[in-house]
Amino acid sequence: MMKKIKYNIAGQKRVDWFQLILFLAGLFLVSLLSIFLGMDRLFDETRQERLERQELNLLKDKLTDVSQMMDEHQEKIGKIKIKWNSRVQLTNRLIASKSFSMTDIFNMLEEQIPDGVSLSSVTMKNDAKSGIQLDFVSGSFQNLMELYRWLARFRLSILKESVTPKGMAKSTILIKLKNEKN
Amino acid sequence: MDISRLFIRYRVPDRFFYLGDEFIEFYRIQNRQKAEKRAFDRVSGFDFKSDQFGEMLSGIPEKSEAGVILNSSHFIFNILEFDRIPLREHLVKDLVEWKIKRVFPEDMDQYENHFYKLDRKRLLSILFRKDLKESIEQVFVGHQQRLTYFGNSTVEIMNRIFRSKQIPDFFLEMDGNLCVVVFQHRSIPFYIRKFRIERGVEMVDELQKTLNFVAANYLREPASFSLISHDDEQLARIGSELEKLGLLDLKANSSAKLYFPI
Repeated sequence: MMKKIKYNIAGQKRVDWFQLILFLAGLFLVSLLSIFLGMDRLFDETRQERLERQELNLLKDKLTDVSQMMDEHQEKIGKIKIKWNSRVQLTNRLIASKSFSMTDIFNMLEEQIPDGVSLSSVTMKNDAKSGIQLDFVSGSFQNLMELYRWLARFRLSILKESVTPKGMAKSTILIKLKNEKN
Repeated sequence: MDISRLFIRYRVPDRFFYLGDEFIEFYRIQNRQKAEKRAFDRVSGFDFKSDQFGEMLSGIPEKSEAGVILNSSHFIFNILEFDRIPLREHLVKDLVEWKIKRVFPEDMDQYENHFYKLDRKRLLSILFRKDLKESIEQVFVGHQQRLTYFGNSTVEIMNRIFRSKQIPDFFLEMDGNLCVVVFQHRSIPFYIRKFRIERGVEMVDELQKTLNFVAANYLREPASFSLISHDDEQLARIGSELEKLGLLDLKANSSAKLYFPI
């Protein structure tokens, strides 16, 4: 629709004060309403901020609790660490004190003992320096000699040797093995 | 843009004079009703110094407010088209003056130029002689009247007809031998022609030429019209002539006095 053409070229136009006052009053009311709404919104924001601050404080408290719990856990971990360190040290000491592998020795003996010779007992200490005492029984003295030859590399010492009336040879020997770690 | 325009409204007086070529009409409005109407035939509205005009003004209480509505005989209308209308009013004013000077041979300083935005690209410029305006105002001052409204009948009719529910494609305003025809599209005027009927020339023939011009230059075929005249016999005659051309008469309410802004 066409906008109204307000053509009035009179030099003495008279302002419609009633309409103007009405307009200004309306404008004033609208401004007042805007200010009121603006203030309300502002207070709303302050309320919001207060809520946020409360929430923040709660979170801070939670964080402090968590920190305390963390400290406690750290302390516990420290204690456990000390305990385990001592155990590890003990283990390391034990490992350091271990001079040879018994399993390897048994494997080696199983492979090298000649036929007709049997190992009747083993006496040892968990110390390489102490040596191992072995008791053998053999059907012939010759087999025993063959065993002596092979064990000669382990600084063999014959402690006892005897032959039964049925011709069974018994021997008690001591051998010293080298330290595995060396 | 003058911001005061947005919220300052001017009072419309309750007494109005219509100043026509051969006819003056006086209206007084009371409680939104026409309380008094006086018509003075065979008086030119532009014969301000005549006794009859003075007599009319003497009938109005002193220091009261009055308005005048002039017919378009002394107004110059231009619908100006631009690619884009600037927002700043002083730029628009310069642009309008520059464009009018290209087609208007007279000194622009002697005219009051008012312009109104019709749509995004078009402006309506209305020129009126300053000295004529001063003369009319002086007459009112001489009779202790305050002239608070100085308008134009065609503009007032446009405001009424082009803002109504049933809008004709054009309207023809007649006052004596003066005719103003205004064409609209989507309620926005796009062509205004003002002409006088010479003796021996039929108004309908002249109007036919205008319709042809509009069809050729604006590619529009008007189908309906409204007529505004003080002369009922003229209204009926021209109306039937135009209907014979196949145009539909959307009869304007002549008793509403569409040239008054109330």
